[in-house]
This record gives sequence, C-alpha cells and structure tokens, in this order.
Amino acid sequence: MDNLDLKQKIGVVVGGSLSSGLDIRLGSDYSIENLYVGDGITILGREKRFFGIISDIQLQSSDSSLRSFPPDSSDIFVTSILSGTSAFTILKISLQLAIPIENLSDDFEKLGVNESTFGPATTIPPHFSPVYRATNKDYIDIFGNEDAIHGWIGTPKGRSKDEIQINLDLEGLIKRSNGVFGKTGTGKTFLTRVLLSEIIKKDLGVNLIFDMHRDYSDVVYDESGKRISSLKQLFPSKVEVMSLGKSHDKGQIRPDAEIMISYNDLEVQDIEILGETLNLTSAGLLATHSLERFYGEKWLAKFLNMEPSEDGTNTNSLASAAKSTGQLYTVLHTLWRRLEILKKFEFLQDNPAEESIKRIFAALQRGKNVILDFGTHQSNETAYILVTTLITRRIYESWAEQNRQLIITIEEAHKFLNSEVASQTIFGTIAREMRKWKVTLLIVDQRPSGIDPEVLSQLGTKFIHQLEDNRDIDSILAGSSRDLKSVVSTLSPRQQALVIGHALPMPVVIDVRSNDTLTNFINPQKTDEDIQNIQNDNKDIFG
Amino acid sequence: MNNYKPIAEIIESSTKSFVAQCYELYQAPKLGTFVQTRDDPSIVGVVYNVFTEPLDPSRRPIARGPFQNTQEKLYEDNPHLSLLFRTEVEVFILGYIDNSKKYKYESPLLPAKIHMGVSLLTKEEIVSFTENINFLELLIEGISTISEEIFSITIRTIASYRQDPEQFIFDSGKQLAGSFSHDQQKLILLLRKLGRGPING
Amino acid sequence: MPFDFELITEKLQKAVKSIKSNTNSFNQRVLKLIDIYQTTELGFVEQKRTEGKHNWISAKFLDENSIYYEANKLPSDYRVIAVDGSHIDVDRHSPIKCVVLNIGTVIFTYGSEPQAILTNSPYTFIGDSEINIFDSSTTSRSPLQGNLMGVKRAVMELTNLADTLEQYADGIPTLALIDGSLILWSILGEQEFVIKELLQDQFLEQLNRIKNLAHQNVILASYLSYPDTSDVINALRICICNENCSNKNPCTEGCVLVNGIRDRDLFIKFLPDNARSALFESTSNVIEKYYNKGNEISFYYLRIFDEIARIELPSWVSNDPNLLQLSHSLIIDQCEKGMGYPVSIMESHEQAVINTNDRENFKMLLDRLLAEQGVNYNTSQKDRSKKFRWV
Repeated sequence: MDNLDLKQKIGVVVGGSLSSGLDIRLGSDYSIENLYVGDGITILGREKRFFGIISDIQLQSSDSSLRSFPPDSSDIFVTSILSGTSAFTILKISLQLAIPIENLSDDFEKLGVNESTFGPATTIPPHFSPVYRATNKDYIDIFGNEDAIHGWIGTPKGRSKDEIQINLDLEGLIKRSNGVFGKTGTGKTFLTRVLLSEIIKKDLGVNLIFDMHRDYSDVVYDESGKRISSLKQLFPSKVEVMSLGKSHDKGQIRPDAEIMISYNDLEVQDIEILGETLNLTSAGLLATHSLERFYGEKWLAKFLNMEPSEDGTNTNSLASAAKSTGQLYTVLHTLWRRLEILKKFEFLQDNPAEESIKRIFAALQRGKNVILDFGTHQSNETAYILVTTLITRRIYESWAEQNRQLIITIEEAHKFLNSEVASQTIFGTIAREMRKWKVTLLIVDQRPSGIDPEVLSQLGTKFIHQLEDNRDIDSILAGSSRDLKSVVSTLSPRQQALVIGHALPMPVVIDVRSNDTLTNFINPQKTDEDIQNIQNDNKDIFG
Repeated sequence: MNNYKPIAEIIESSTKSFVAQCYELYQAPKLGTFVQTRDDPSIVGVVYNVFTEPLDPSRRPIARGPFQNTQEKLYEDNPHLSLLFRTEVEVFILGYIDNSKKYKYESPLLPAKIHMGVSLLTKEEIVSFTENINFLELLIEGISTISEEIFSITIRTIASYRQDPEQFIFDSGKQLAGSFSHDQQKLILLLRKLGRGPING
Repeated sequence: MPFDFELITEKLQKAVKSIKSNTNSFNQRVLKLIDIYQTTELGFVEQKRTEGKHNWISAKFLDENSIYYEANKLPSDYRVIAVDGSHIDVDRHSPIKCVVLNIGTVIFTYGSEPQAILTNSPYTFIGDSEINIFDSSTTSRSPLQGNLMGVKRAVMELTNLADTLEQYADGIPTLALIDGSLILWSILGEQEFVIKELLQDQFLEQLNRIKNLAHQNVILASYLSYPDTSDVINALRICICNENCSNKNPCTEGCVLVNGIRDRDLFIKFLPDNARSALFESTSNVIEKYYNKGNEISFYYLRIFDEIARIELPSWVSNDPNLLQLSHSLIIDQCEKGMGYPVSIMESHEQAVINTNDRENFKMLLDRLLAEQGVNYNTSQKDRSKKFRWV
C-alpha cells in the first residue's frame, strides 16, 4: 500500500477555496511539528485525487476565550487534551493538480497517476475529504523518471534523496527564458550548475555562459571543502572556455581562446546600459547619440582618443567635437572622463587581431558550449555589462537560421533587465520575443524586485531560493503564486529552492542536488569500470 | 435480576434519574458509585447526591447545643432519633442492561418501579460497563444535573478500578473536549478537576 | 366579610396597658401567698377544709407544708411508653356515620440496649351501633362526637397504654406517660349512662389493669404543661377567706389577694429548677363521685425549663416512695431529651396526628366508595354553602 498509506492520514478538508487555498484541519493526534510549509500533500476526493503543497500553517481555537484565558502550560493534562480538540492546527494547501480516480477499489496501486491523466486542479475536493502526505510514489508519478529530456535537479524538502528524485522537463525548460533567484549565498550558482550540466549532458541545447565570478569555468569548493568539478572538467569535449583579454592570472584555467573586442563593435545602446554603472549623466547619454550621428560607426574609438582640451582649433579636441555636435563642452568633458575607464580594458581595442565574436559564434554553431571567463576583470561590473551586452547582441542577431536552441546565462540580471533599460536592451528583447528565434535566457539574480515585472512574467520557470525582502518575494510571486509567500520565506538558507513554472507539473520545494553528484553520463548506475575510466580521463586532461 | 443484596429501595422514579431510600440510616453508597435496579431490564446509574432528611418534612431538626454528648452517645440516649430520619441517594441513569445482557448507553424508555430494590455494581461490572467510551454520552449530557464535581468524581472513581487509569481519564477528557467546544472555560475547569487523578477507594 | 379591626383594637389597647401596671401588684401578692404557704401549718389547712363548707375545690395537702424535692439520680436502664390520640370527627351530612381515631404509641428504651419503637393504630367506629353510647334501660343514646369523642379518645389512649404495658413491662423502671390529666373532667355533665359506660366501665378498668403492673416497676403519670389549675391556691384561700366568698361577693382580704393567681404563678417563684413540690391530692367531684377506692389521684408541680408542669399520679404510685421519686427523675430526663417537653409525648403526638392531607384523602375515599355504590350523598345546604364560598 504505497500510494495511500493510511498511517499517514494527517487530517480532513474543512474549508477554503481554490484561489486562497484549502483549509485542512490537522488530526488531533498528528504532531504539527512533523509538517512544514512546502511539503507535498494529496487529498482523496470522491471522484478525483488532488495534489498540492502546504502554503501556510495556522493555530486556531474553537473558542476565542482560549486566547484570552489559555490554560497554564505546566498543566500538561489540560493542555494535552485541549490541543487537537479545542485548540487545533489548520493547514493551508495550495492545490495544484487533480487526477480522476478511475477505479475505486482497495487495490491502491490502481490509483496511480500517469502523466497523461493529470491536469491542473480546477475544482476542489468536498468537505471532510481525507488528507495524506504525498508519498514517494506520488512524487515519482507526478514528476516522472530521469530520461533523455528529464534531468534530476533535487529531492523534495524533507524527503530522503535516496528515495525520491525530482526530475525537470529540460526540453520544455529551455524553450523559454528562466530565472534562478535568491539572496546572496543561498546557492543560486549550485542550482545553475546542475541545470547547465544536465542540458549539456543530454545535448538538448548549447549554452553561452557569461561567468562573471569564475563559478563555472574553474574548480570550486563547497562549504564542506568538497571539490566541485567545473563544467569544463565534466564535459571536456563539449565545453570551451574563452577568456577575456590576455592570459595573466587565469588560475587553473587554460582557456581555449582569448577574446578581444573592438571599440567599433560598441554601439550607443551598449554605452547606455552602462549609464548607471559608469555614473553617466543623462546629458552625457544624449551626447553619445550626437557623437554617433556625427562620427559614425567608429565614434567611440575616436571620442576616446580625443584630447580633453578647450582649444577649439584642435580638431581632436573635445571643444571642437562639442562645436561639431552641438553639445556643451562640459558635458562632453564629463562624458569623456567617465568613459576613460574603458581604455583600461586591455581586451577593448581599436583593431583587435581576431574577430573574437565570430569565434564564439562558430563554436556555438558547432554545438560547443561556451563559457566566457572574465580573467582579471572578473567581478568588474563595467566589464561584465559591456561585454555581455555586446556579445549577446551580436550572437542574437546572427542566430536566426540556427536550429539549435541557444541558452544565454547571465548573472546580476537586474542590471540588464531593470524597468529603465529592459525595453532597450537585447536582453529585454530576448525575454519578450521568446520563441521567435531559438534563443532564451537563464537569468541569475538576487534582486528580483529590480527586474522589470513584464520580464519576470515572461519567465517560464523560476527557481526561487530564500529571499528576505518583501518586495523581492512579492515581485517574484506576482500572479497566481501569491499564496506561496510563506513557502518562500521559510526556505532553508542554503541550497533549497521553490521551483515553479512550465518545466514542472506542479510547484515543489527541493533540496538542490549536490554538485558532487554531477556526472557526464546519463546512467547513474556506474560500474566500477566506468568509474575507473572517468578517473583516467580526468587524469589525462588535468594531470 | 441479579442476586446482589439490595441496599436501598426506589421511592421516586423517572427515566432520567431515581431516588432510593437506603435501608440503613447513614449507610449510603458514596458519590460516584455505580448502582443498578434489581429487575429486568436492570437500569444502571451513578450516585450524584446523598442526603439525609426527616421522614416528616414539616419536622425540621433543631440544633441540640454544643454541650451535648458526642455523636454516638446522642443517638444512644435518644434511640428514637434514628427512626425519624432517612438517608436517600439520587441516582443519575447512564443506561440499562437489555434482554440479551448487553449494555445500552441510552435512557430506558420506561422508569423503574417504585419500591424496586437497588444494589451495587461490583468493580468488574463497573469496568465492563465503562469499557465502551460511549457510556460517557448520558453522563456528559447530565453535567448540568449532576454538577461538574460529581462528573469528575465519577470518572476518577471508575479510573481507579481500571488497569489503565491515566489513559482512561485522558480519553474521557478528549470526549469531553468534543462536547464542550462552545464553552472553553468550563471545559478547562472540568479538565482541571479530572486532572486530579484516580480516586482511591 | 373582612374582619373589622378598629372595633377591637381599642379594647385590646386598654387591656395591654393595664398589664404592666398590674404586674407589680401581682408579684407582691404572689410573694405574700408564698409566705402564707410557708408559714401555714399543714394540720390547720386540713382542719379548716374538712370543717368548712367552702364551695370551691381545694387540694388536699399530703406533705409537710412547703417542702420541695430535688431529683434523684437516673437508673441506668429505663423505659418510657407514651400514647396520644387524634381523630376525624363524624361528618353530620354524610350518609355514612364514621369516626376515625388514630392512637400513637412510642416505646423508648434507654441504657445498655437503647431502642425505639414508633407505631400508630387506627380505630374506626362505623355505623350507628358503634358511633353511639346506648342506654341499656332506655332508648337514649349519645353519639360519640365533640366532647364525648374526646372522652372516648382518652379511654382508647389508656387502653392502648395498658395493652402495651402488659406486653413490655419486665421489671426495669417503666414510665407510662399520657398528655394532660388522669382526671376525666369533661365527663361531668354527661348523662349517667354515658358516665357509667365510659368512665366507670372503660376508663377505670384500664387504670386497674395498669395498677396490676405496679410490681413490675410501672409508673403511671400524666403531664400537663402550663396548668391553669388553682387547687393549691384554693386550699390557702380557705385560710384567708370566709365561706361565703364568691365572685359576686368577694372579701376584701383573701379574694383580693388571690385574684388572678394560679398555682403555677406561686410555684414558679417557689421551686428551684428541676425540683418538685410537695404532694397533693385532688378533690375533684369526678373523683369523689366516680373514681373508686384505690384510684385516688395525687399530683405535684414540677419546675422544668423555667415553666411549671403538673404531674398527676394514681395513689398506688404516689404511695410508693420508689415509684414516686422515679416519676420525678424520669420525667425530668424526658423533658431534657425533648428540649423542654417530654420527648416521648412529643413523638407519640407526631405518631397520632392525622394531617390535613390524610383527612382530605379519607374524605375522598369515602366519597368515592359511596359514588361507586350509587349512594346519594345528601349534603345539607349549609354544608354546601360553607364548602363553596360563592358570590
């Protein structure tokens, strides 16, 4: 009796609604401390079986006088009788799925679920329907097994990882843009690494990853000191690491290529997106338009090479530029000084030797996943924004005829997708236009309230780690998921996420799969020989 | 019909309760004791009031003064006194034993007859009668008649006869909680009384 | 009609006012009388009494003048048997003539084996033959109702007492107590055949039966509380008044002195608590005429609980010093147990009483039986008008 183990009946339906959640009265002998928000629940209605998650837990009493005059807590006899009878627990359940019960028989195996028969819950079970904790089999039935298009991403919160795996529909996932969110330190990178390695492993698409903090291109160590292999180490033949600029300090990485960018590649909108980062004035931003109009394609190189002199006779002076473009000298001067920082980027050159962007494009076209490592500029916001925007735009423009799905991973997404710039940047375009060209985003961010709401609403699947700021929680749950607020605020601070969206039949809270379980083969049942082979491979590559 | 010696005789009778006069003055079953009538069907109830009154209601006892002899001597010196009073018990009905010797936890449809004898239940019979928690139904309904204190004394007395006294009191408390959801403060009062534990003897 | 209080109030007020002013003089006179009682010689009183032709009843002094006695110790075991009666009178208008008499009897045993028995027995007199006393030589008859019923009741009480005594007397001191008097005052005025039947044949017969138990330590006595009697005062009066004194013609010394004073007024001041007075003998006409030799009635006054009671005894009790002093101490114990009144008389009264409910039930029983037999109940108009007070 796997599906409906009667020992685990926890209560009955006593009220509630589809929109604000069902009310379940917890049975008087079931300990409230065994349950938590986010746990999976099944309800046995008369004709349907329902699935949902606990979205809130409340304590209530049948008589308000218990709140004013509660019994003495040291009077164990009285309190133990009252709790569960006059004072009881109500669980709020967010209903998600329903499946008709084909055969009402005692053979509970027949009450199993398969994918073709369940759908979203559009009605609710009647009063007093019994409620059970979702069993392992329930999870397997709903989320399916790992296969060519489904990847294991984690275990339901509170369950044993040896018993249940939550498998994501990766194919469906990458057809839309998605987001990984959470406060700093909650494990966004870990989850992203899982998603990327599964996509790569199953060859479902190609990834272009802008690795701002060298999280994916190099080995990292988790909290317990365990060594986590990089994507390159896991998939040496499928991943190319390209580094920005000359190789100075690359750590353990031996990049496959070095990326240089020409000034001429930069357009006005690339500068605009840097407005906040570089503290450009609005006047200055307007001036860039004039500069481009006047000086053409190579305006930036030219502008940066000008002399900051007021001498109008000097054709290379800012003063003469001011006159030519009709801008104020002071504006141009400020702009020039702020943009000077670009000159420090050694990867930014007038005439670079290679057409790096073409290089990237070629690799992607061949089906290689590209990780762009930022070298010495890692964690440099200006460099990150500049390079990411430029390269993305170029690749996107050229990806029209491609058949492969391209997934672009960006971090600090609110820099690229905040309300002010979302309508202008390439990222906003990609997010909105979705399936037009086979390019989607995987955005990683810790401030979802900083992202344009329309963009958020376009995301197919959201992976939400712990968030504290109410604005962040509200913005990420806007829409039909508002009743899951408590679920988000009770997430564990490390590597636990609420996953909701198209890639799953119903929302679920998962403990993210540990990164040291990432493998480069599909079959999780390794033989000793397999293990030996892998170890040999690794040794060959890395020494 | 049982063969136990009758200790009292019914002098008032209804389907909810009855009053029995004890054969011996002051020899009455204590509060919370279980008794049954000596006929078929035998009606089972619990003693909720014990009182002694003059046979002639118009003759009220008058205090004889603090310098009278001790209690015992008073009755010896005035032997007619024990003839002028009677001790009675009021019994609240909890059910009856039907033709097939099964316990029915309901009101009998007809009251017991006047002058019918009343005898005690043995400890085993009390344990057997209270085995099924449903016996509490009429008792809980009757709290307004028998008082909270008697209810608690009854439960605690039964508990002392059982193998599992604490569990019995607990289960009774849970049943009570279900019936008193409208009046939590009264419930808490009742539970505190129950919490005093089994009564011995 | 509603009671007109105004008319009576005035008279009451006057009377109440005079009580206070009279009390002082009253007390003075009582003290004077006590003085006379104490100083007058016993012989002198008797002499004057036998000589004189005074037309009032006065007691015979049996004891040294003005002596009194304290109570003796109680015996360890003793018994009291008391009787009392109550009746439902004949309903004149009923086609059935009947009287119901209820006699209550109590037997209290004290000491090493205390016991109490409370009983009552009803007696019915139904129909002409039972309801009436018949004169055997003429056609006269007297119905047992009113005063005569009271006499019959006294007879039945005594009969019951005799029956019970015969059953229980076993040698331990047994007090046989009746309420009221052993002297059947109320028979005076009845016809001779009635007196013969009730008093001489029946009443005295029972007295004799009890007398026969004297050797079993049986003490017959009657208890009269707050007595109105004045035979002792009257005896003193012999010494201070003259023969011709009457209500119409009082003398200035004696009559004025004794005016309104009764025996109890004298003895309440004279006797200490729990003490009894000297013994006297009653010279009532009833006794002189009808009570035979050996059934003289003596009496003494007893002060108990701040009141005077009159205890009457047949001579065979008063002549026996042992029985006499037992009567004293046993009666005192009974009064203490009864908080001022003999508890055995109290309980026998309770046993005898026919309460209102029972009276009503008896009437209803009668009516129903008559109705069942189809007998016409011819009640009189007067009766009907009393029953249904209509406008």
